[in-house]
Amino acid sequence: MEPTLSGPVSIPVRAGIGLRPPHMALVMDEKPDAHWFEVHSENFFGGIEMIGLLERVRRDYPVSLHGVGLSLGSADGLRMAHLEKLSRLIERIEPGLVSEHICWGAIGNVHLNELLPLPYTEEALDTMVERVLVVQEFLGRRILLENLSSYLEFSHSTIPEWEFVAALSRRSGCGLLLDVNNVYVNSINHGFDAEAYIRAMPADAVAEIHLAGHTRKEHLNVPLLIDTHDRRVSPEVWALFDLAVRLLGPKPTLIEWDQQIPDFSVLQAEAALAEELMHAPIAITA
Amino acid sequence: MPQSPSLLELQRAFADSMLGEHYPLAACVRPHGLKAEQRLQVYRNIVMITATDVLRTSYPAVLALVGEEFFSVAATRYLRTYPSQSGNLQDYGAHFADFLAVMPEALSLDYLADVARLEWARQQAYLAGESAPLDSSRAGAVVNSGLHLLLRPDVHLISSLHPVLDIWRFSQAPSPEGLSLGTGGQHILVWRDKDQVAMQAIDQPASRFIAALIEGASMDKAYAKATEDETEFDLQGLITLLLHHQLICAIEEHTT
Ligand SMILES: [Fe+2]
Repeated sequence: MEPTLSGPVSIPVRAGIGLRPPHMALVMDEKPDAHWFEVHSENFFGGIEMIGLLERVRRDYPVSLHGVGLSLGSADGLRMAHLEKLSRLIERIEPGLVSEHICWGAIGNVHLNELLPLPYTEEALDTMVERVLVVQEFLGRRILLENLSSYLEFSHSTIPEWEFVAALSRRSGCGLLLDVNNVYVNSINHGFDAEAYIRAMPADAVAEIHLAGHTRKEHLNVPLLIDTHDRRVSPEVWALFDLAVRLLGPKPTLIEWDQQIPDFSVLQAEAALAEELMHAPIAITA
Repeated sequence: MPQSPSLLELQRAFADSMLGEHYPLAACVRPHGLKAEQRLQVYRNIVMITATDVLRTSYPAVLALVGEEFFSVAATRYLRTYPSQSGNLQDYGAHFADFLAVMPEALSLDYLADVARLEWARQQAYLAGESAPLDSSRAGAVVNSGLHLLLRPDVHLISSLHPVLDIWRFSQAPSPEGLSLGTGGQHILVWRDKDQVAMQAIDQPASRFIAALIEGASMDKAYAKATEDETEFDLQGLITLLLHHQLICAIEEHTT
């Protein structure tokens, strides 16, 4: 089958929905209301059927490709085979945005297949900057990098996370995918001011926002939030999103839900809530 | 572990902390109200759950045959023995059959590894690349010649001393009559049919013929393999099956 797409379609400044395999058929058959979709790139690396399905979705909606497996922060080099697969998928799907994470997940031949935190050191920053430059050169486009949820901090970190994120964008020219839920989760887990984090983000560089639900781990001495993507966005995260919209301006915003995936209508309702905040008139406070 | 490890040292120690019994990285983690080990354990659990879920999806028959508890023990040990080597989780679990074949607690289930082999073949068939089928009018004339018959990349063959296709079907839809394990081995052709995986048992000469083709033998050499023990081989029947399901993608002449 020949590609029938007619050039990339950019992602609108609206609330989109993370599209996961359980809803693919529904989206193709019923073409439900949604401003745009984001998918995990790796779900479409193998399997002709899967890529064919995504092409069909892409004919009807703008699509963003979100990677979870490139392991940009690995000390021992870039995973070129993975990058080549991503490149082929981009050629075929012509996504509006391409994103990855500020993290690592593999070392040597071992892939832990998770988004693992980096130490926030000059060495890690140099590594990330260099990798992002190579990837952007290879793909011939700017990519977005996302801040991640984490459950530990390394004692030899020397740079606050928000400064690390901002510096990565400044030095590599990459855009930022600001996950507001991840900011909140980390602010609780590591004890920092979530609002200050948002204020430290370069507004021009932030090209997308993520929203998702998290879970609190019980029976521990201190609160520990886990980025489970298995429920609605929490009130605290909505409040932080509201602040982010005011400070950074409205951005393409995505509802992520990856476990215990609900009816599509629930995702639409979450997206509608995000839309309300994105397009609300700025309140004048006395 | 130095107090300020390099990125490489840190990532190696992190991986060891995920896959081993200990936490060599604990000294480099801020406790912040918890034990450093507790924080690392959160990650170890997440890594383990992800890996186990992938195996659960890829090996539903093995799971049904051994049950949740046994399966999660096997999955944990498998991760430590054969950690993932790919950023794409669809690749994880390729060695599960080999692992089960030598797992001491699984030795009494001597068919289990072959069931796992069949399930991995099913997944490979599903994920294989596309190929245009052969124009069937070309196929009639080439039987038993020096030509090479290329099967589609999604075609796999699993040969077992056990009735693994029957076992697989039973595991997915158990029947009240139970299942007899004494019915002898099965040879199973696996391929993708639209968006489903298809399986069909074939006889031993046919399986020898297919195995030879997959290894790259010419038609006449494959025929010799199929009939090497002088059992009857219905070549025409097998070719008809392959054509019917459009499993042949090319007929080539090799000079080697
Ligand atoms: Fe996210």
